[in-house]
Amino acid sequence: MPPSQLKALKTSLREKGITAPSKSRKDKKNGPPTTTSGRDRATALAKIRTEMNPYEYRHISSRPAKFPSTSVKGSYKDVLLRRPGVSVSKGEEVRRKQLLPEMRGRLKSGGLVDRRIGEGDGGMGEEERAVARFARERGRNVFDLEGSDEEGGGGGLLTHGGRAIADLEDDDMKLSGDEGGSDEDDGFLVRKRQREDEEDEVVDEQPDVKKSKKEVMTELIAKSKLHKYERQKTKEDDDDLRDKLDAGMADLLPLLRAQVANNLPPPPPPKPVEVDGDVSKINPERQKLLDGMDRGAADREYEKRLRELARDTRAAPSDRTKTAEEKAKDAAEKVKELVIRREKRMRGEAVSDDEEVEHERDDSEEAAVVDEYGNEELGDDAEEFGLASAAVAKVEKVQHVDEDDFDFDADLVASASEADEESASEDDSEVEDDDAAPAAEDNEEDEFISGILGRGANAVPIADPSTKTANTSESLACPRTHADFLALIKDNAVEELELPTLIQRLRSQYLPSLAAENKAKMENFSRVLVEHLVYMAEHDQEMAVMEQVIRHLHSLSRTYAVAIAEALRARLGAWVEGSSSSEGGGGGLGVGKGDLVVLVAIGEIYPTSDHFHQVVTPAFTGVGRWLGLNAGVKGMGGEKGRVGALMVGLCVKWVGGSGRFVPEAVRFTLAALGSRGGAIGEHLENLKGMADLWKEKSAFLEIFSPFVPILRQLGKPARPTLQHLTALLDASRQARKPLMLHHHRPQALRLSNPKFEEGFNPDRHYDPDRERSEAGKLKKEFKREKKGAVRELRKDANFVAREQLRSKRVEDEEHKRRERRLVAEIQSESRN
Amino acid sequence: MPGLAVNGAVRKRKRDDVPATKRKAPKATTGESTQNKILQLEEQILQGREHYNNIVELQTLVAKFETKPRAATLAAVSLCRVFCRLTAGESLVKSNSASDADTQIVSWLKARLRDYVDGLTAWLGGEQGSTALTLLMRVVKAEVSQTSKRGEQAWKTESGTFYKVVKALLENEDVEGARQEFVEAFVEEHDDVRFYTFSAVKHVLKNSTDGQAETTGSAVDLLSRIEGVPESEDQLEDWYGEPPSPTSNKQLLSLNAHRKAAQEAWLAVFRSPLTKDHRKRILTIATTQILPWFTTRLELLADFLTDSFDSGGSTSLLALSSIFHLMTHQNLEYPEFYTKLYSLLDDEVLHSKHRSRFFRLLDTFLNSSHLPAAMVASFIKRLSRLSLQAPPGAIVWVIPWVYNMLKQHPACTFMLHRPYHPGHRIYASENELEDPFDMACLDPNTSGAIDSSLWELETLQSHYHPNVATLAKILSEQFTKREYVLEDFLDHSYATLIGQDLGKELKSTRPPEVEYVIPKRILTAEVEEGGDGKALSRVGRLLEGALGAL
Repeated sequence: MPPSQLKALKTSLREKGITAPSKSRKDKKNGPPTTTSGRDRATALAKIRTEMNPYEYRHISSRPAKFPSTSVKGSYKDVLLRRPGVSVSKGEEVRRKQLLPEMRGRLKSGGLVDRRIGEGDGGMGEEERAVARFARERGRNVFDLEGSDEEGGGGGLLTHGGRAIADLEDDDMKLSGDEGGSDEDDGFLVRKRQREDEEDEVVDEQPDVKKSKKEVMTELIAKSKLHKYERQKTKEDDDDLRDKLDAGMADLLPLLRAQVANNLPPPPPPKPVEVDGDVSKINPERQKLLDGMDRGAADREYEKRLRELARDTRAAPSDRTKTAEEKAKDAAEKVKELVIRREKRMRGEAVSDDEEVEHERDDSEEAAVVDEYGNEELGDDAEEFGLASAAVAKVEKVQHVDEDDFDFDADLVASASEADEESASEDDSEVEDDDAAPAAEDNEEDEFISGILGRGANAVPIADPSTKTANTSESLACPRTHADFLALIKDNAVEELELPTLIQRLRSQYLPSLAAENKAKMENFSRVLVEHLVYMAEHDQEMAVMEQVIRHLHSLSRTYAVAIAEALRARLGAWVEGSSSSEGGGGGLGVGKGDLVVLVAIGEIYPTSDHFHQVVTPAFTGVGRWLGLNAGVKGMGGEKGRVGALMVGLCVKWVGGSGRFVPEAVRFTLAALGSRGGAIGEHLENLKGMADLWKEKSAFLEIFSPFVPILRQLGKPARPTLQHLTALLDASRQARKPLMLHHHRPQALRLSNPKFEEGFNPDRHYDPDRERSEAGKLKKEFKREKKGAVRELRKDANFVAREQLRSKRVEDEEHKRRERRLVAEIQSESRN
Repeated sequence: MPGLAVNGAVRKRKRDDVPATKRKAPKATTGESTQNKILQLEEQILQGREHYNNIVELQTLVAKFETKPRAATLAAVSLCRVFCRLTAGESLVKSNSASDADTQIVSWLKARLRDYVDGLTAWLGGEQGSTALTLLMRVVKAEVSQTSKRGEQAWKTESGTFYKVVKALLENEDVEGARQEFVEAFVEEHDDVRFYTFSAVKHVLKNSTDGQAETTGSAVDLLSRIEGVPESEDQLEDWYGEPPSPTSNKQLLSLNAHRKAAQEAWLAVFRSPLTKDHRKRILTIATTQILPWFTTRLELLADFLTDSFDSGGSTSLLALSSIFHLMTHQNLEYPEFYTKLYSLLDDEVLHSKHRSRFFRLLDTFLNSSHLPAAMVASFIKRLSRLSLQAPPGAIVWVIPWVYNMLKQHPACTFMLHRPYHPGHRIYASENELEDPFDMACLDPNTSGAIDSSLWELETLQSHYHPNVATLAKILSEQFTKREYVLEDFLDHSYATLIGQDLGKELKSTRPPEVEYVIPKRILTAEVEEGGDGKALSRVGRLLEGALGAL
């Protein structure tokens, strides 16, 4: 409880020594009189009076005084109290000074501002004004430049609106709105601040001791001497530096010339360095011109030079030609980078995009939160892993590609290809062709276009293009559909083995760099080629030719990746739906010859080790599906065994890089070997391949032990495989360890907000979120400012009203007086 | 009645003459005249007894169904009307006071009616099956709408039209359409039809001796189509014949009587020789359609179910849910249920088409946290082992299920993370690690799975399908999620996975990655010295073999 007013009064009186505590007689006698003298006593009393007056002082904050700890430290009374009466009267004064003249001059335009000393100052007499003006006039010295800006409004000063420029500059910014004439509305706060500033200035101003003229002059001279010395010093330094640079010029020149040989006009031949270098140098051309060369000739010369220069820059090679070793090294680096990228893709990592990953993680966190509240209905758990429900998948198939945030697979691929584009653009070898293939690839490309094909590496007798020169010269129409292509083959009587030559000719004839529309044509042709590959398989054509077509497709994929991938995917889709096998003569196995070749081609064209690939993944799933559906059914012998052997072989080949596990392949091979159907040798080979591939897997024992009894039964032909497998099984058994998958750092408990604070202070903000606290502060400041502004405006309005009332009253009084006088006059006149 | 017959014969001759003279007339006219004639005959019959021979004439028309279907149908319809009228007029009832001639006429009419019904039942499988069924049921309605005693008799007796219809539906082949219509239009709509159908089915099955398999199949088909099961006696309110009154036909009003009829029908089915497919069909509907009938006498059904459950294979899978329903709702005791369940986890279960159904049940059975951890571990380990050869659709369910199980039985998490401790059985031997789990052990409580590790699932983290691989990785991350909603993972198959991948359009901004090296050889290989110039690589050889085989 706060002490009562009376008690507080008593204690303060006692402290000041105004009332003494009752003393024993002894003390009275001995001690000196403690009561203070009269004047001290008066001031002390006045102080106590003001302190005890609840209306004179007020706490700044409305918080009661019983929380002294809560606010600003420091002397309590100084800071916490303010005097409303004083501040009101001060404000009134300021207003009278600033607002009143404004108000009076409000509806007046132009006019004269009287800035004479003492004008408008009621406290100054006529005499005093004259004296002040005279003193001012005397103090001004016409020759004293420095002192001229001492007083505003001086004759030699630049002014604007009757004020010195120097003064204006300061508040130019603040008053910029005034020029529109709408100062009524937006000037108040600024004006207030101005007022405050001015008050501060008044406080800060210190009495300036005026320097004598002599002192000023000496200072000036000293300054100018110092400047001169400094200028000389820098000049000397510069000269030294230049000399040094010139000395090294001889070494530098040859290098420069090699680099910029064609780029720049030949540099002047190295001259002996002129040390005193102030001789005026002049361009020889210019000298010639000055010497009287024909003006027109000079212009022509100039034009010529200019053109040459322009052409030179364009023709200049950006890089010098690389040596063979450098090329090899570059190629090796490129390959290395590609390998690294492929490995990254294999692990399913984002190749370069951090942002997306971040975003993705955020999303998953969100999902987790949702789950914490048990609203599992909201999110499909399976969808998180890209396993949308069947219905959704179908809808997607129709058209709408639902950009699923969770679909990290797509993201990965995206980032990879983006990185690809980036690297491509970084590559300096930007050819006009927009595929921007690295140099190494270009070379390979050449192979497909310019006809080395089929000579060196391939022993298959493919017709030499040179023998068909007559044919080559005439142009071929680029086939749009497969029927066109077949017709083309027929028309030109192309033998089966000559097909690669035909493709080659088409490709070289419709190089995208030759014509704008060639790109679309070749895109179409790529699709045709995919169809033709299927056609070839269905008509049992030569393997070697198919191989060449696949290779062509591969090389075309670099440029027309989307077209070829779409064609292949369409083929896959048809296979999965089961509509392709009928035409391909699948014989009830659910796969046609064309499908098989397409699968082989996919495995060659695309990197099968990727975590996700738009073409390989569905193809792989399709293979898995076939193996899974056919493993259980009886009749493993014959065709099914053969096709299965190919499928498993493809699986083994495809996971060769990544070592992924294919359950269906194991199951099928087990069934094939168990039923002792056809193609046992192939299946044994597949088994060996799988065992070698997955020997590191922790479940190797579980995967391959079922094979052991079957291999034993098979007897002799399986013996080497059995031995191999047994060895691997033993090794795996030795190496096996119990699983330890959960060496995780223990998870930190979630921090809750607000957390517990010791010595909590309600006035402080403990928000750990920086942004939020900043925003809060800003909001608070805004509110305070707004409140202040409103209050200020209200006060201003009150003041204006008051003033208007007063002036009105004065006017009324005047009017009455005049009226009375007139009436009196008239009465007196009439009386007369 | 020779006079009548002669009369009819004369008319017939006359009638035959008319079309003979008008042979050239258009067909429509002939059809119309036939129609008129049939109507005329019908009217005459209703006028009096002396025209009863017209019935014979109409029946000959009906019999000519093969050659003149339209006329036959018309004749059948009018005959139906005739018999309905006759039945309603009690012309088919022998009265005690009737004369000898009257009795003769009644029995003659009855014989005609039998002929007519037999003729129509033969139509049931054909194009006119629907019409025939409608006509027959008209007759049935007429029969059962007689005064109560006789109506009830008409339902029950073997000579009654209704019994004949049901018998025909069960014994004839190719009458599936008629059966479906019969159930939809009559059995489901009317409570008394259902009641008497059950008893008729029971009798037919009891009486039939030859060709039993088909009859049973038809009975299963017929009964399994009956979906509406009354739950209280208030629901018994739709009647085909005379509405029963508490005095006359009270068993039709009792729910228990209905149940009993259904139970007996089903039991008759169970007793007959059932093929595997029939058994599966019964099991598929057991929980929803059969169990409700048996609410009072469960033991009767339980025998059948346990028999099915013990027979193994997919039959067991199907019996599971009914057994479980009985166990949880009706307190049925099934010893060694979990051992049996464990034995169901074999090679086929992850490939069977009832996979998702089984998974759903398996999750329900093992959802209790009171089950012994060793047993749960056995289930986990066995499913993991099986998923090493499973399709992705199954793996995708197994992994989150294992997650949920591990979350529920923390003792099992040692299967994922087992740091060294001499107390663990797996660390018992010094140098070579022996898997304590025995796949051949039949008892889930002693299989030793809880001391083993889930290497299989760790291997699946490198599954070839990216989504499966990513999903499998949840097992080696921190178990922060409370549980996965397994329903979301249930219905995945190859088709959905491929569809999902192919469903996303390719974007030209994100072209697929292309292998950067173009291999020199894909299908062919270097020709060895002295080779014949046709060397193939391994893929080439495999492809050649496959292409050759297709």
